[in-house]
Amino acid sequence: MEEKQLLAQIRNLSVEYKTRLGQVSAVDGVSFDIYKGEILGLVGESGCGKSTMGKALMRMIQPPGKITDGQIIFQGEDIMTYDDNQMRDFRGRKVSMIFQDPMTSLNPTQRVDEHIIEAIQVHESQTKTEEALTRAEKMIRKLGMQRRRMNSYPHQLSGGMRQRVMVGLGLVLNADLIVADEATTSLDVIVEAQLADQLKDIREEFGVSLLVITHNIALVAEISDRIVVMYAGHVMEIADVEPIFDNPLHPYTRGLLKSIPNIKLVDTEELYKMPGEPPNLTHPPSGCRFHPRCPRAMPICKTYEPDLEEVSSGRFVKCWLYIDHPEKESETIKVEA
Amino acid sequence: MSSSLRRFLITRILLTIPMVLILVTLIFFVMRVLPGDPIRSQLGPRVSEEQANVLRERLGLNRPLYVQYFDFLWDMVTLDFGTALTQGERPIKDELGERLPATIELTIPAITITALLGILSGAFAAKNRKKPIDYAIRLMSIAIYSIPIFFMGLLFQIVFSVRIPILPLSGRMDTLLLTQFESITNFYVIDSILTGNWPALKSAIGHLIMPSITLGLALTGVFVRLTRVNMIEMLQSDFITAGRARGIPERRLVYKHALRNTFIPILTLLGLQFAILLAGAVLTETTFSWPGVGRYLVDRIELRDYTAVQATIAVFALFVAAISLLMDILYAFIDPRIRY
Amino acid sequence: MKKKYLLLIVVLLLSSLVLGACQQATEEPVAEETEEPVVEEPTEPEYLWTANLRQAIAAAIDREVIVDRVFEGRNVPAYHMVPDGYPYATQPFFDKYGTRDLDMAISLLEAEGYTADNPFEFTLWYPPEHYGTTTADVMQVIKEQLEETGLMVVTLQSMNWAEYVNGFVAGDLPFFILGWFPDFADPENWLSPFASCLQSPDNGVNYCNEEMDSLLQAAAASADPAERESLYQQIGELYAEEVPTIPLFWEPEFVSYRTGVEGVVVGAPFEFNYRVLSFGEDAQPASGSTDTIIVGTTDEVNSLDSADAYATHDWEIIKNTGVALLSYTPGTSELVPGAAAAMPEVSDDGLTYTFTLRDDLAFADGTPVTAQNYVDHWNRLDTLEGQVSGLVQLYVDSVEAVDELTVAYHLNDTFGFFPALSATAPFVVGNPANFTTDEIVAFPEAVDGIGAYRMVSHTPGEQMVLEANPNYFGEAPLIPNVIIRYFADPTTMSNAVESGEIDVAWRTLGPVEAVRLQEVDGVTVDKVDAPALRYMVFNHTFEVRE
Repeated sequence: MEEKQLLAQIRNLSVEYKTRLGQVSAVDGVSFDIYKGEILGLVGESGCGKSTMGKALMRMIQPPGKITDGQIIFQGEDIMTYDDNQMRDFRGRKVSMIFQDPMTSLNPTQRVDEHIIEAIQVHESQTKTEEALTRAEKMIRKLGMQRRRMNSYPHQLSGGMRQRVMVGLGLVLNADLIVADEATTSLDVIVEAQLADQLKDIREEFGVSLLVITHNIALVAEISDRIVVMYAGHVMEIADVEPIFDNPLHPYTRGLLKSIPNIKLVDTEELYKMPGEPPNLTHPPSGCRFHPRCPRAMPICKTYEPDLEEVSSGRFVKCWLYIDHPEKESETIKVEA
Repeated sequence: MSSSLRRFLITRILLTIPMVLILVTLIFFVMRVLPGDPIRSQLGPRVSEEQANVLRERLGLNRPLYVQYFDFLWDMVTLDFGTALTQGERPIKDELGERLPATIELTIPAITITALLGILSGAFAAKNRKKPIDYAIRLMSIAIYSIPIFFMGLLFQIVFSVRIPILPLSGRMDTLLLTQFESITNFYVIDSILTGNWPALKSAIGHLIMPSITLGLALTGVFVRLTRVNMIEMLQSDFITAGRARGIPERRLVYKHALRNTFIPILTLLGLQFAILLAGAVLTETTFSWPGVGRYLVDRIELRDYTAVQATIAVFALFVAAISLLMDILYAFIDPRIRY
Repeated sequence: MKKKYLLLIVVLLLSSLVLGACQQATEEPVAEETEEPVVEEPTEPEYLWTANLRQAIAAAIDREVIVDRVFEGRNVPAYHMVPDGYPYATQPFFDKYGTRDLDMAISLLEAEGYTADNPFEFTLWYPPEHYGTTTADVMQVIKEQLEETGLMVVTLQSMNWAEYVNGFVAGDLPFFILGWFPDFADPENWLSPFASCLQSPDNGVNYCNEEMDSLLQAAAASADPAERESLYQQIGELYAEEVPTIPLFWEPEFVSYRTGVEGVVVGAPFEFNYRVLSFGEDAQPASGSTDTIIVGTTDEVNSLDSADAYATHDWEIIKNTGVALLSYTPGTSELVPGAAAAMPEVSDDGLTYTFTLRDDLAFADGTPVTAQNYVDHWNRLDTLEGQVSGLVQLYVDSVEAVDELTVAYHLNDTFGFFPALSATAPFVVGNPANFTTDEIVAFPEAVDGIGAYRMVSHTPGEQMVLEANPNYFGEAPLIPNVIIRYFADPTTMSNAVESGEIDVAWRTLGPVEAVRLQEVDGVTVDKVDAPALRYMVFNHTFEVRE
């Protein structure tokens, strides 16, 4: 494997939402790294906090939500210290985002070229419109769309084309990290496959990192290098893609993978459903947040919250099964490299 | 312009004709059904019944209804509009020719004020949702909306014309300047520019300030609320978030991206309000002695002046139809989804 | 899609045709002037208003109380239809009923057979807006006063003006309030319209009494002051006895003007002469110069054609831009020669009044005025059937130009008040250049009459400009330019006189604004005892309903 260079480090990030029912701890003390040129998959059920995580990376959390703790160190600088102007510069130029529904993510009253030119000129105010237009054209062609599409409005484009425009907007300023938040969820399978390929291509061509946030395990299996599994606002497991599929450590990860519909299922076999439901995050469970649903739960899991520990090179897991504790009764499982 | 749009517009224009026809027919019959007649309403008991009949005969009021109706229709079609039944039987065309421009000259700045003030405050309030300034704007908009127009007008008059005399009290132009004023289109602002009469221009604009602000403020509240609500929704939409993610500054997001998309419902309201303004200008016209068509209509209805009322309402209907059409054309410009 | 609309239009047109046909079928043909044979009514209709009832109500009403409670003493109680200060005016209602005679009212009602258990019930009608919002209060006070007898139950009902007029002209209203403003300054104009057989139906009175009629005709036809005085005395007494109508009170008019404006006088004939207005030493003219005065009004011009005009403001303009045959000394009811060189000569049979015109009469554009102009003017009035034609045709039969400067009026009867009539606006000769012979010109481009001013421009609803007439035979006006500014609202107008935008505010200021302006510095408010009467009308042919 090549020498991996750090792009971003998230340390102890917490995001809370103030709701009428109480404070929701959507992301709680999350830490992980993102390397240059890697495709990192961030998976989990709905409501696990992965989308919030993605938005938090760009400090796009709107009230009543707030980042309450932690650092986001991007290329050596903690963007939590940035002021408004610095953030605006950061967004789009350093990190950009692709959204779930490209129809609603594009301004219906703006043409494609207007979208791209605006994105350029907002960051580089001295760039003339002509030059920006040329760059926009190049981007469009590179994404495999015809030039005449530049004058189109979003509603005149197909779903796949719109998504490509989104990707183009993400790339046009040579961002270092692209966050894809459920980018394929609203696409049909064929288009989804096209986009997946495209994402891989742009990583090859531009060396850009991708954070693919999705609940579609198949997708991350296809394109990611590494996977981060989140549950109830916590990171439960981080590993390279193959090891995690061959040997999922965390009971939640195991359950998640078992839940994938398999075409090889025999008629009599039922789909695996994980028992229970994700917890209410205004009053999260004590100790390990997964313990109420965990088939391997131990008494200690209710009392103490485990840390996210590196149990083998590049493998992290947050589970008492693999971590020592004086009050633990059972044996700690050892993980091979 | 695409051919579908062209077809759409032509159809709309053609549909206006039956609309106006139905409306004026309704008015024709409603007026006749109302008790009272123009002769008696104007002269009261002053004339004998015999004399009154002679006058009615002269005005053609004793003709069979369908004759009067067709006569009226013919007048409309030839854009003649006939003569009024009261007040010296002045040709209605002349009367409207003087009064309609007066009202329009008043409503255009008024609607501009309403739109600008209302839309910008609404957008501003939406942007600063739940902050004190948001509550302040909403409170102000309700307060202003609740104050009766004539009260506001009188208040302005007393403060700015009587106590601190900086603005003219009433009328369209300074008395002495008006004696020398040459009026071509009856839009005093335009006419003073056309004739190069600069003191008159200054006077005309000065006289427009209070009445148009009064009229404009009255409807601002509606626009503030509508804009605010739509903007709040719009600001939560995905493309705004996407824009923010691209680093587009907040102000640009609000006033360029969000506002432009909110325009469809706002334009609709603008079109409707313009029609209301035309007729509702009555109170403002009364307070500021503005010789407009609102007042004219109210007076004529009271006097049961059939022909004047019919003609005026027909013109109103045409106006409303025109505004409505204009709105539709503007939609097409603003929202590309309609165009293509 | 378009077919649907076409169908709709066709349906509409067809239905209007049908409606029109129905209308025509049910419409009575316009009454022709044919002699109708007198038909004997099989049964005598029973009329509601007996003499006792009318007197009872006249006795029960206390005008002083009304004036105090509703108008804070501003109005003047009326004890006769004829205004105080008019020739031959008396106070017959006071003579008969005092300020109030409740006992008389009660005994009259009892004589009619009404008791506390079986009171006299009827409806009292009024228009809520036409005479001001105080009308409702007046009605309320009257209702209370009548019910104080314990033998009457009064229901108040209102109807908006247009319907109201229709109602009483059709004879639907039994007892209602009306207002009256004179056409000319003579008791004839205050009595015959209500009490004569011929004219009373026009006001919904429907009163006809032989004795009254002959007295009225005799008084109208007499030219002898002593005879007229005695006749009107009798008429007054009979009026209080018969009670065709009940006079209530006189409503004053208010005029307001800035300090320094002088010459504001309005006399009993209710004429406002602009030519005697002037600026004193401490005046601050609204126009900025002492040669222009600005007068504000809430009236509107209805018609400036003297063969048509029948409204107060119109007459005011006509009499300032023209002169009638006779005129009044400003501020008085003294009749003096106007366009005529001297008072008219009356023929022996009293039917012809001959006026000798001044020899220096000329229209403002220089055209000389001759007797033929007066004949043409009469012909115009007679044939064009303007609003005021009926008034003049009632009294005048024909007009003749005896010679170039002599014009003779042949009357329908020996009307002794004709001089007063000849001082009214219909007797102001119009310039043929402004007023064409073949149609009424309500809004002429200019008025070049024989008066102190000529009308130079008129923008309806905005203003009218008058300039001194160089060809005026009398003394040039003290202020050469008058601009009349039209207001839509009395409050705005009073603000204008307060802020100095206008010099004079006249008609209609209203009591509220008048009282307010009295407290303001730099502004004077005068009360003008306007001959505007409010009176109650009995519909004498209103039948008893079960």
